[in-house]
Amino acid sequence: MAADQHASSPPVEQNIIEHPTTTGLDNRKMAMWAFLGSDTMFFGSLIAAYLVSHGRAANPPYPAQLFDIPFTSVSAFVLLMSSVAMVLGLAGIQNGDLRRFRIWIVTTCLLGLVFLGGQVYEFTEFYHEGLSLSTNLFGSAFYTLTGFHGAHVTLGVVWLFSLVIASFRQPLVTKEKALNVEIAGLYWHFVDIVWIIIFAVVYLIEV
Amino acid sequence: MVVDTDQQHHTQEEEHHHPSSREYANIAAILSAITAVEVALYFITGVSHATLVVMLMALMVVKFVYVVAYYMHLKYDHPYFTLIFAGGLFVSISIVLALGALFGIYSGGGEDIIRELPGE
Repeated sequence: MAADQHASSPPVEQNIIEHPTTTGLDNRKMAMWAFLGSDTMFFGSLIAAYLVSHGRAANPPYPAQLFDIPFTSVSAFVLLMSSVAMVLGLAGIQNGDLRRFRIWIVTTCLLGLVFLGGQVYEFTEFYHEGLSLSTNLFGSAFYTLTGFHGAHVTLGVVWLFSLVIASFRQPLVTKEKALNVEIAGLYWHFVDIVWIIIFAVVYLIEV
Repeated sequence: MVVDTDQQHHTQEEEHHHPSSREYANIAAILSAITAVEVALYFITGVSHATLVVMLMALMVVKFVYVVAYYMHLKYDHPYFTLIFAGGLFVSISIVLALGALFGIYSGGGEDIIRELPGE
């Protein structure tokens, strides 16, 4: 009897009913865009705090003494290229090409790790030059802004790695469920555009 | 039972029109070129600070728009997503402009509002 019931009931996957929404748009994607909109305000506040404190540090070291623009330019380029790898990975899963998805998402993760390694190196160098979180206004604002960005990159790397692992273990990452990858991709690109702003405003312009 | 409305069909068709791999690569080349120009501008001497700021900000905005429009697919997605993100962006820019004006970062003033004392 129990065996008959089990045989007649459809698989779990088929039991999942996707309810229509009033907008016709997926709630998860809408939620991610809402989160990104709010995170924009968060980073806007940190950038504003950096600009307000800029040039008002009473004690050295100052930005001009520390910034290594060629090094940071390479980091910015690496993060930019990780966005390209991300969209190619998404295109892979949307076309049902799991191998292509894995290759490009792992590439994205590796580029993200290279960026993080560069940030750790930069922070270490700055610390040895005498800039800590409490040295001056510049140190507090700079480490807070770039540190929170680094934390976002770290979360993104963990998220993307988990998707790659999930693609081996369970049917969470398939062509039909490409939205799971697209949402992670939105987060990753957001991290990239935040760095586009930080690179220009904090490093290059030096208001 | 999976319910599909015409609106959802329309939305899904819109969402599935994404750039090709070649287009993604072309955009990557444009973004790389802009980054190279940004760095070159930093090292070019003889350009006034005001001009440098305007040019770097313009290039930054172009890169931002390219990533958001093509890599985040806002150009092809439903306008609601653009609206939600633009709302947050508007507030964010307002915060930067308002705090900048309050603390005098455009005029170089504001020392009486925020000043770090030596040895603090």
